[in-house]
Amino acid sequence: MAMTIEPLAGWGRLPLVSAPQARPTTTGELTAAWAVPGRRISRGLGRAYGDASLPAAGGFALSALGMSRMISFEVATGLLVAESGVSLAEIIEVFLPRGWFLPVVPGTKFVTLGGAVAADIHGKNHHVDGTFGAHVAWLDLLLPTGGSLRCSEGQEAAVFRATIGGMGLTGHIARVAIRLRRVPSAWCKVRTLRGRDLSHTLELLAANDGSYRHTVAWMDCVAVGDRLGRGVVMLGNEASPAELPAKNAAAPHRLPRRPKLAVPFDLPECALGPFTVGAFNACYYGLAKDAETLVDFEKFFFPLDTIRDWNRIYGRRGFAQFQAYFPDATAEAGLRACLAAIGRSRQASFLAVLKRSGPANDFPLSFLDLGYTLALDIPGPAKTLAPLMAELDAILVAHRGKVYFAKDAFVSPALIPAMYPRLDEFRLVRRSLDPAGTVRSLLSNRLKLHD
Amino acid sequence: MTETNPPPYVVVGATSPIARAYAADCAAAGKPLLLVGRDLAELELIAADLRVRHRAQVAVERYDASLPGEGRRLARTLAVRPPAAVVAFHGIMGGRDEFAAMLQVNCASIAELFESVADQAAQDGGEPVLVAVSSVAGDRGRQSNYPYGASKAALDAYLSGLRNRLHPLGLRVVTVKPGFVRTKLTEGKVNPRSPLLAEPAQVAADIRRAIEGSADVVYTRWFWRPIMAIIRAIPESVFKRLKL
Ligand SMILES: Cc1cc2nc3c(=O)[nH]c(=O)nc-3n(C[C@H](O)[C@H](O)[C@H](O)COP(=O)(O)OP(=O)(O)OC[C@H]3O[C@@H](n4cnc5c(N)ncnc54)[C@H](O)[C@@H]3O)c2cc1C
Ligand SMILES: NC(=O)c1ccc[n+]([C@@H]2O[C@H](COP(=O)([O-])OP(=O)(O)OC[C@H]3O[C@@H](n4cnc5c(N)ncnc54)[C@H](OP(=O)(O)O)[C@@H]3O)[C@@H](O)[C@H]2O)c1
Repeated sequence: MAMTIEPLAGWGRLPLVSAPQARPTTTGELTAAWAVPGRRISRGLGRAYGDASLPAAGGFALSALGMSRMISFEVATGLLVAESGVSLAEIIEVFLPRGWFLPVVPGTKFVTLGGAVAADIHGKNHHVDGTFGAHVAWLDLLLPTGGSLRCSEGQEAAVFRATIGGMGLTGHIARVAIRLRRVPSAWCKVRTLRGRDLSHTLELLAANDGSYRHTVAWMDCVAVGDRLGRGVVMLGNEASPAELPAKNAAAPHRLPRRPKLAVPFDLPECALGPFTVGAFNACYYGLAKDAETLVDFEKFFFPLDTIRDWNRIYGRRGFAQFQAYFPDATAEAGLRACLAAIGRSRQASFLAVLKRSGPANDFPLSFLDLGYTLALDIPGPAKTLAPLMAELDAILVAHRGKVYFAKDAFVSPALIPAMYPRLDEFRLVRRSLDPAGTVRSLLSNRLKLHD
Repeated sequence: MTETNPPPYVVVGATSPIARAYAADCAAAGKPLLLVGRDLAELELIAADLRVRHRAQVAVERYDASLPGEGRRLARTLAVRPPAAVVAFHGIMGGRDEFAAMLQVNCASIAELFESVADQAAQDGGEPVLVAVSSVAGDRGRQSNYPYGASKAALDAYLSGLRNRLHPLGLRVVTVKPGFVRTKLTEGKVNPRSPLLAEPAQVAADIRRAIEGSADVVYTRWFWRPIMAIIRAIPESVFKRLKL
């Protein structure tokens, strides 16, 4: 299996490594690539921000992108079987016009099925529908010791559960059977509310758990003092065809056409100083009205996807994403401390997204539990980021917070066992599947997820 | 030819990335397909994908171009449902010790298949467009890959003659000459960022346009036509000294 040395990075472009990557396009090539001796890690569309999809030193990346066939679809049940390199964007393109949607989507549709399973991703509907993994019927896994295994809740359940959220460390996910969900249209009825300050924003999210399937808040990271944590809360339910304007009601599952924009090159470093960010946030906040509007799925779920490669606005210095989860009891204090630290550092972020989360599932490395999760970008380079990240670590420890592997590149490894109390259970399954420890990433080495 | 049972497009060597892109194009346009090749398991996966994505009518058929007789057998299978087009993508690239194999797979197999399909069409009145993927490498032999180039040159001469013979019968023959395409044939040989390197989908779109239009010989991407005109124009006395 020929491999080329390629520059590889996550979405934040921090860190950036140069490593061999295998790009099989047939079952035979995939088997051959997986049989190559040495350390390896699977890679999808590289939308994890940090180092999750980067091979450990001396190892290679196995790209799933060349294996992207849809294999079957059952109209009676909505069960789609596909190879792991299929992107959620492709699934939406094929199935939304037929009235089906993914049960859970992240903030970008440019992730693969394999990446969605490996990170056990969550969307704006976690409080209702749980994570992506909850809708997976079965998986085909290429095992580190060779061969392939079909696993599900009913068959090899321990392997199945460790693989969902397992960040690629149990083997290469070759196929996924995912249950799609029927949707009444490609539109959401969205109510927009203003949260005056942090406790008000949190209250608005929690109070609407029961009546809205999709909820999210955008927070103004520049506001300080008693306006700290002010935000725009968006509450959405899927619209029925009858609720659409006449011109859309005839084809309720058709998305409106809009032009694709791209960031063609790395912007100079000055483009995103704190003032620009403040202006962005203030503007966004100013625009919001406490009103109900119809928003199409594309714009509602993937607002950033209209600008391709937007990660380049941070220029060559790259950026990190900080995503933290806090349980209900400590959420307000933890979030307040995070926002204050970020404000003080003046390394303000382009994005701050706050979501409500529902109860935990049974996948040992899955991220969320009942509470809230905050995500924001912090521009690099790594050396100016590190002190702020250390300060945020301390806040997480003090408030029982936890980081999301798909976003992290900086957390102190010593904190992981407390954040992920079921880590040892995961390690046991991982070790039984891969005693030689050949499947590893920069992330798994850094955070000692192996032993 | 009825609305419910239009003639299929036959894609030979359907596991090639260029062929896959072409088949996807056809499926998206609602054309029925017959995918032909030697790796049946892989063909079944490609077919399943086209059925799920495009609700396309897709069948598969085993065929090994290295075996004489396979072309005649395939043509008999095709006779059951006379095709709209037969597009041969299959090809191999090897060195000086693989001359015979390349002549068989890159030229003789196609000749056997097209002769049989043309004979069949003459009998049943079908009008298949016969398309073969050759290469710019057939335009002039270069020291770096003249055995492959020679097999494609043989194919070019064959297709030109066949076109000449079938023209009075109203049957079209299309020669497709790709330059560099991003597939495993060019992996490690052409800089992956080279502007000359085309994506399989671009080449597939050129092939579709050629079939729908009236072209005899298409270069894809288009700029290979002037490039190859210059390369062909270099006098042999100069050419033999070049390191190409
Ligand atoms: C703009 C943006 C918004 C986002 N919003 C959200 C969000 O709302 N919620 C959320 O949960 N996440 C979100 N993410 C993160 C993203 O959903 C996850 O990182 C996801 O895993 C990325 O998938 P990928 O295909 O790009 O995988 P990669 O980034 O390439 O890999 C991610 C992990 O999956 C593993 N992996 C990939 N493919 C396979 C395979 N075939 N077999 C085994 N392991 C595999 C890799 O080893 C790695 O550990 C967002 C990311 C971006 C850029
Ligand atoms: N890539 C380029 O830059 C380039 C340039 C000019 C011309 N071309 C031509 O384009 C065509 C497609 O090539 P590609 O680049 O897509 O390379 P490829 O992936 O290697 O495709 C070659 C195809 O030929 C098939 N094949 C080989 N031997 C066969 C046999 N004995 N019987 C049946 N099928 C056989 C292969 O099937 P298996 O999967 O079973 O092996 C595969 O489908 C070839 O004719 C090639 O010469 C390519």
